[in-house]
Amino acid sequence: MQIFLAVLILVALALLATDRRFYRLRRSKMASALLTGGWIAVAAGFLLGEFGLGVISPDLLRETTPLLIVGLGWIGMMVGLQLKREVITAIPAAVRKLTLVDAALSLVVVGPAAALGVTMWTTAVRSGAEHGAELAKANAWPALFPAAVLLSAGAIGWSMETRSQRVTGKTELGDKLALVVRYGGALSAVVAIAAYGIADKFVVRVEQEARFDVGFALAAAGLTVLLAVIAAIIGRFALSLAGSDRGQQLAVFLALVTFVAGIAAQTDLSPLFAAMLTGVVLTNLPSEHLDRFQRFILRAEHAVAVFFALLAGLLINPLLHPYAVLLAVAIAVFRWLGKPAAAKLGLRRERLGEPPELPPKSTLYVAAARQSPIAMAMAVALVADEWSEFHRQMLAVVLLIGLLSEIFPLIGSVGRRQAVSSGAVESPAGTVAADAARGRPEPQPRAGGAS
Amino acid sequence: MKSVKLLVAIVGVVGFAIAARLLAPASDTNLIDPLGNAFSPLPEGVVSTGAGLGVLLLGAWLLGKAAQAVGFSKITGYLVFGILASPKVGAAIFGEQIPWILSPAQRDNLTLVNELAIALIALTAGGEIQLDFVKRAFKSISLILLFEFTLVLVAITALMSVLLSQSPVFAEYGGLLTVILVSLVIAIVATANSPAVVIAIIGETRADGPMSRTALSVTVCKDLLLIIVFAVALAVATNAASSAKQAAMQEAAEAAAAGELSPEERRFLERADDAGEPMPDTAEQAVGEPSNIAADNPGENGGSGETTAPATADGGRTSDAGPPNAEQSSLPDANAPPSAPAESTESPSADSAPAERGSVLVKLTKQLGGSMLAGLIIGAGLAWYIRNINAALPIVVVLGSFGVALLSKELGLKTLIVGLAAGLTMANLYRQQSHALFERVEELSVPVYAIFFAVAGSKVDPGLLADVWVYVVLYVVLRAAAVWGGTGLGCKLAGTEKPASTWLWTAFVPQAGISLALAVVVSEQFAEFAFASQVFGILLSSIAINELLGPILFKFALGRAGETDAGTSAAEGHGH
Repeated sequence: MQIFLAVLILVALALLATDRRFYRLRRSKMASALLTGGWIAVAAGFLLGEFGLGVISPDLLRETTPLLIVGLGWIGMMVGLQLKREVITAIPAAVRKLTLVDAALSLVVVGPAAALGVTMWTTAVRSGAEHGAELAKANAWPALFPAAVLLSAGAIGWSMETRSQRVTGKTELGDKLALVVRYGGALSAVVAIAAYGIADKFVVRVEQEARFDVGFALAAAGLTVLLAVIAAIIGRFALSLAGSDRGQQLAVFLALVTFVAGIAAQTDLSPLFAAMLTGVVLTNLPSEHLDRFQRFILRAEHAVAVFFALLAGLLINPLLHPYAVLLAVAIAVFRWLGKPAAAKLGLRRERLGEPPELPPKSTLYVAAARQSPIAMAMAVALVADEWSEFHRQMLAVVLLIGLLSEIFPLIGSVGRRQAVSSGAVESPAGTVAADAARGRPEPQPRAGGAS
Repeated sequence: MKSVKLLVAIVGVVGFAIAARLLAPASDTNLIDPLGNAFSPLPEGVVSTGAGLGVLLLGAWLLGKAAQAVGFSKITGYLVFGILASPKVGAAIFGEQIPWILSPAQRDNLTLVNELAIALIALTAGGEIQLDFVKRAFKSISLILLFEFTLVLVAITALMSVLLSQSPVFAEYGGLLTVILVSLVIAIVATANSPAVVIAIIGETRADGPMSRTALSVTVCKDLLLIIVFAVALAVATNAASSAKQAAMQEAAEAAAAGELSPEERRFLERADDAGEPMPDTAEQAVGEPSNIAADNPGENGGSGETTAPATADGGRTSDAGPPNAEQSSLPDANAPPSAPAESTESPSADSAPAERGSVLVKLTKQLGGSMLAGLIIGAGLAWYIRNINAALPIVVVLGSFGVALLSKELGLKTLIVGLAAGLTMANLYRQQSHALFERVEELSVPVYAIFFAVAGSKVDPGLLADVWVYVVLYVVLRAAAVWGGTGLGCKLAGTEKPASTWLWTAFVPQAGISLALAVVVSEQFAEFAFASQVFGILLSSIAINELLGPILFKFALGRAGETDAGTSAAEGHGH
C-alpha cells in the first residue's frame, strides 16, 4: 500500500503542476526559469524524500522501477516523435551544424574532465573506506565509465526555454534567435540520448568486475535499432487499427512505450534510447492518424516532466564529497563560458533568413548555457539501471550542474534589464528598443510566441 | 491481409518477449559501488515487470482486435492472449526449461494492476446506473432481477455443493452448512453479468426497444445488488469455513493431548504444521513424533498424490509455492491459487475464536456503510474538481482509481462498493460534471481492461482446466438454463411482451469485468483452502466461455427481437 501512497502523492503533485495558476506564474522570468527547469518539482521531491520529511523512501521507489522505466520510455518516445524528416530538413543548416559542434565540444572537453573528476572523487573516498579488493574493483576505470559518459552526454545541448531570456517585448529577430535555441536544444537532446545510450553499453559488468566490451556495445546498438524498427512497424500498424478513437490510441501508445522500454530494460539496453529511436522511426513512417496521436500524447508532456523532476528530487543523495561539488562547478563553468562562445562561433556570419545577420549581443546566446532537462532524465535512468548510492550522488551532481547553469543566464538577464532601464547600456539586440533604435518598425503583437 | 498482418504482429511481440527472457542478464548479488557502499541489484522480476506489462498490453490489444475481426468480443482476445502468455501454458507445451512469454515473477508483479482495474470497473459500473429510470420501471426490473438471480443462485449453489463436498478438506472439518455457504459465495459470481458488454452490443447494433432498455436496467441494477449480497455472503462464508477449520484443529489438539489421535487427524495436523499454521502445543508435539500411519495406509497417500507445500511468509498467498494445505482431493492436485491482490475483504474470522454473529453483522454494516460514504465523498470530490479546475482529466481518473484502492485498503473498506458508489454519485448528483469524467474513464478503460483481462488469463493453469472441464461445461450449461428459466418467469409475472420476453435472457449470459473481479476476490479470500485454485479455474473458464459466446448470442437475439437497424455494420464500437 505504501507504493500506492507514493505513486498517489507523485501523481497528485504532477497534476497540481498542470493547474492554470502555475502557468500564470511563468509571467515572471525567474519563476518561468524555475518552473520550466522543473526545479520547484525537484525541491518538492527532495522535501518528500529520504533527506527531507522522509515520506517516501528510496526502498519504496525501487519497487516502482517498472513505472520509472515506462516514464523513461515515454520521454524518449516524445523526443523521437518530434524528429520528422521534414522538420529536420526545415531546420537551417547552421543550427544543425551548431548542434554537432556543440556535441563534439562537450564530449571532448567535458569527457576527460568528468573522467578525471570522478576518478579523483572515488579515489578520495576509497582511501578511507573498507572493502579493500572489492572496492578496488568497483573503482577500476571501466566501472566509472558510465558515470563519466553521463556527465559528458548531459553536457550536450541546452534547455529550450526562452521566455526568461527576453528582456523587453518580442521582435522578429528575437523570435528567430529563440527558434535557434529551441531547435538547437531539441536536436541536441536527440544527440545526447543517442550518445548516452550507445556509449553506456561499452562497459559490461560481470559480478563485481567491469570491463570494456566493444562487441557487446555494437550488439547492443544493433539490437536497439532492431527493437525500435520492429516496434515502430507494429506501432504504425496498431495505429491504423486504432483509427481516431482516443481510447484505442492511448492503449496503443501505452502498449508501445511499455513494450519498448520494458524489453530494453530487461535486456540491459537503454530504455530512453530505444524508445527515442522507436519514436523517430514511427514518425517517419506514413500514417494517417499519427498527427492526432502525437498531439494527444504531447498533451501529457508537462505532467510527465514534472513527475520526473519529482522523482529526481526523491532519489538524490546530496551528501556529496567536495570533489564531486568541484566537478559540478567545473562543468557549470564550462557551460557558462563555453556554450555561449560555441553558439556565437557556430552562428557567426551565418544566414538564417531575413534579416541576414545575427546580432552580436543577445541574452539569448546565454540561454545556451542552461542544461537540457534531458540530462536529468539520463541521470534518473542511471539510477534505475543500478540503485547504488554512487548513482544517486551522480544524480545529485547532474542536478547541481543544472541549478548552477541556471544562475548565470538568470543574472545576466536581470542585469541587462536593469541596465537597459537605466540607460546605462544600449538595448540588447533582439529587443523592441534595439529595433526602434535601428529604425525598424515595432512588430505587431502576436497571440502565440516562444515559451 | 489485415488478419495476416495481425498474426505477424502478435508473433513479433511474442518473439521479442521470449528473446528478451533469453537475453536477460543474470542479476548479481551483493555488489559494492565505487564509494564503498554495498547495494543489491533489483530482483529480476522487478526489472522485467515492465517488459511483461508491455508484452501483455500490446499482445492482448492486438489479439483483441483479431477477435473483434472474427465477430468475437475484444475481451475474449485479451483473455486468450493472457492464457497463451501464462507460464503454465509455456511449461505445458515446451517444458519448464524453455522460457516462455511471461515468467512467474512477472505475472505475480503484474497483479498490482488489478487494484487500479477493479476501481475503474466499479466506477464505470456505478456511472451506468440512472436512478430516474430505475424508479420508473421498478416493478418489471425487480421481478425479472429477482427470479433470474434466485434461479441462477440455486442452480450453481447446488452444483458447487456437489463439487466441494467431494473434497476431503471439507470431510475433515467442513460439514454441510460450510459447504453450502461457500458454494453460495461462488454462485453469486455466476449471477453477475456485464453491463459493459450489453452497452457495447447495443451501441454497436444501434438497438433500441423494450428489450435493450430493460436489459441495460436489469444488468446495472444487478451489479449494485450483487456486490452488497456478495460482501455479506463472503464474510459469513469465510467466517464459517475458518471457524470450522479452527474447531477441527482444536479437536485434533485435544485428541493429541489425550493420546487418541486418529490417522486422519494426524495427517490434518501434519499438513497444518507444514503450512506453518499456528496450533496448540499438544498438537505440535503430536506431529513431532514419528508415525507409522503412512506405512499402515500406503495406498491412500500414494494414490492420492498428496503433497504438502512449504509454508510461505504470508500464509500461502504466493503463486508458485503451493497452498498451505495442498492436498489431493477428488480433483487433481491443485497449484497455488493466484495471488491476485484484489479487494481484500477483512474477514471477521481474522481472530482465531469464532466471531459472534452480531459482531459480524455490525462489522459488515460498518464496512458497507463506510464504503458507500467513502464513495459518496470521492464522487463529490471528483465533481468539485471538474467544476472548478477541470484539467488533466485522464490523470485525475487514474488518481481517483488509485485513491479508491488506497482508501479501501487503509480503512478496510470494499473497493468495489466505494468505486460503485463514487460512480453512482457522479452520474446521478453531478450529471454535468460526470459526462466529461466518464468520457475519460471510457478512454482509459481500453488499456486498463486489456491488461486486466490479460493478467487474469495468465493465471490459468491448463493442467488444471484439463481436469475440471466437466465442471466447466456443467457450470456453463446450468447457468444458461437457469438464466433462461428465471428470466422467462420474471417476464411472465411482469407482463413483458414478446419478442422481448423471448430473447431478454441472452443479455444476462455475457460475463466480464465485474464477474472477473468477484472471481479474483473469491480466490483471494479462500486462498488458504485447497479448492481455491480449482474453483478459480472453473470460474475463469466459464467467464471466458460466456464472454466468448454471450455477445454473439445477444447480438443475434437483438436482431431476432427486431430492435436493431437493418444493415448496420458491425463497426468498431466502444466498450468491452
